[in-house]
Amino acid sequence: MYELDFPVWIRITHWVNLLFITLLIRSGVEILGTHPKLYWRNDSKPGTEWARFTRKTMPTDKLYDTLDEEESYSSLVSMPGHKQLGLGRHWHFFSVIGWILTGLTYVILLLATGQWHRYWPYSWSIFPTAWHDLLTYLSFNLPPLLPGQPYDALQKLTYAFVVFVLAPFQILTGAAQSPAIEARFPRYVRLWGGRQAARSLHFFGLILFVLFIVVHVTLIAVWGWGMLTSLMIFGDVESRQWAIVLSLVIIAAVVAVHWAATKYTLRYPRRTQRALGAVVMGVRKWSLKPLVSKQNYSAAELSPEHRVNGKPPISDDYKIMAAHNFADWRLEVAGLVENPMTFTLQELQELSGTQTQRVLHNCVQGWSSIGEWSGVPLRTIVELVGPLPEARFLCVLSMQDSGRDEPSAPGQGQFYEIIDLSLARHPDALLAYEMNGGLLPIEHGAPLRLRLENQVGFKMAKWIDRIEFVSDYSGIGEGMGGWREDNVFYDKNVEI
Amino acid sequence: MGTEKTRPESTVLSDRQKHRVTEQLRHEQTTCAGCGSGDFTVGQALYVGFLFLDEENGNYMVALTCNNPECPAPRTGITLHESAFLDVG
Repeated sequence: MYELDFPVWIRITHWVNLLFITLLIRSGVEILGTHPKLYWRNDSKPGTEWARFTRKTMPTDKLYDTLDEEESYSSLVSMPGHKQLGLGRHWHFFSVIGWILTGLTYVILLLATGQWHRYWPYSWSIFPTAWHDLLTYLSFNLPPLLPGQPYDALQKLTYAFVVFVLAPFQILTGAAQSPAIEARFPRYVRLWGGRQAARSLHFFGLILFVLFIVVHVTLIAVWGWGMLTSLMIFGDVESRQWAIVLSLVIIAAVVAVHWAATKYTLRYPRRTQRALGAVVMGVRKWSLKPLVSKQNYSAAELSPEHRVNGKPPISDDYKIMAAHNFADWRLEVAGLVENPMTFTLQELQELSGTQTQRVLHNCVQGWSSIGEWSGVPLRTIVELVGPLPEARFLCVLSMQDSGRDEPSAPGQGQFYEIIDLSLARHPDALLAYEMNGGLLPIEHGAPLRLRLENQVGFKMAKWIDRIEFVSDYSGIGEGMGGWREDNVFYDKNVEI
Repeated sequence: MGTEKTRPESTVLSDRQKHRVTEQLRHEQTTCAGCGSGDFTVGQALYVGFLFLDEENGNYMVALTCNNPECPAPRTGITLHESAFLDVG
């Protein structure tokens, strides 16, 4: 028979989990706030949201994009708050790594030491007993503990649900929102009902965690704060007075970490981006980056109204080019290449090997749509210009001046994104000039945009007019790997 | 080829509409920025009122091609409100 006590590893993982789960909840709210609407269908069609956490209304007579729909939440509920999606994402993905490692440690030790018995329902009778326990709680009484166990039946089932169902559920629905995983394993996303269904379910998981924490803390107070915190700090019930003090100190420490991390993040966003990004991108590099798209949605699944992010260049030069169907537009490809080249739109269209792909588009803000994109594979251009041995990255430049054209995005200057040369050689990396069988619409990047199916949308530069091969990007912009990386602290490689 | 297709945002103008554009050009004494000529062929009209932040609703960018064969930049355009050249209601 196992003694279902509170060994030191249970106590440590419990308190570490408290830190990570609360960081995950707050940073999750930050991510939700950037597109505060939830849908069931992949197309995220405006007006079809089943829940909205914003009062903003969008114009019908003017192009708006999803940056205009973004909300700024208080730091009290979001991490770091104040419309900082990039930094919120860093905290979310950093915390999820810590949370998963803590959870794995917990589960492995649970299985190795026999402590899993505390969660195993040995008899079906536990379910009616748990129901009876619930009624007892609702009548403001305390039910009896199960014989020889630290919990009553309802607690046992609830903890088992949180550890073995809710936590994996959050990991799996979170993974289903990764463009790299969606692209490589499209059936996996369908298992959840699609990308937006996974996002909605992930939200329900967040709500359940918040409810669990509230009820958990309430019941600890009801059962005896000193006794239970003593078990979770000292492993016995002998030091209740000290446990009350220490438990409050631990909770205060967790609050202090949140406060300090929030203040530091808002004051030193670049340092935070670099520090957390180093951890997060290191993990993505071997886990998600190698994934290549295998998706091919049917024509029937195309979104009737593909959502938009980013606004077209307002320069007269661009408008005149567009009015003439981009006859004067040129794509310059230069930098560290053997054969710098310039292409007209017609020349690009006449290159052999036109490629079409019907894919799920993932915006960093959380919405999605399905579109069909046709164009020239980027690797064709790479082969034509012949990168020099020192070339490692492509700097893809847009005609959009973000400070001028996109008031909803803080920052100035020409939009650009850096991608790895290896990513440019992916079979699904595409320079698209058509969408859904017609010419690429202006709001989607005409005359030419990038498609990278294992990345989120902002990496897929629109209104492109130049591609530069470089060996290093530290001297371009702020040196972070793109306009959004420079200005709103996003991460350079965004497979999730 | 693709460049000869009509863009989804563009409108093909009738002869009457093109004539109204030409009258507008004459009225405003519009000349080509590339060569100074005032002789243009009127092309399609791109609706810019919805897509571009700086444009008023109802504005179009009408494609103009300078008819001077020596012009170094023959493709240009003029922004006009729909009431100036389209047959509105």
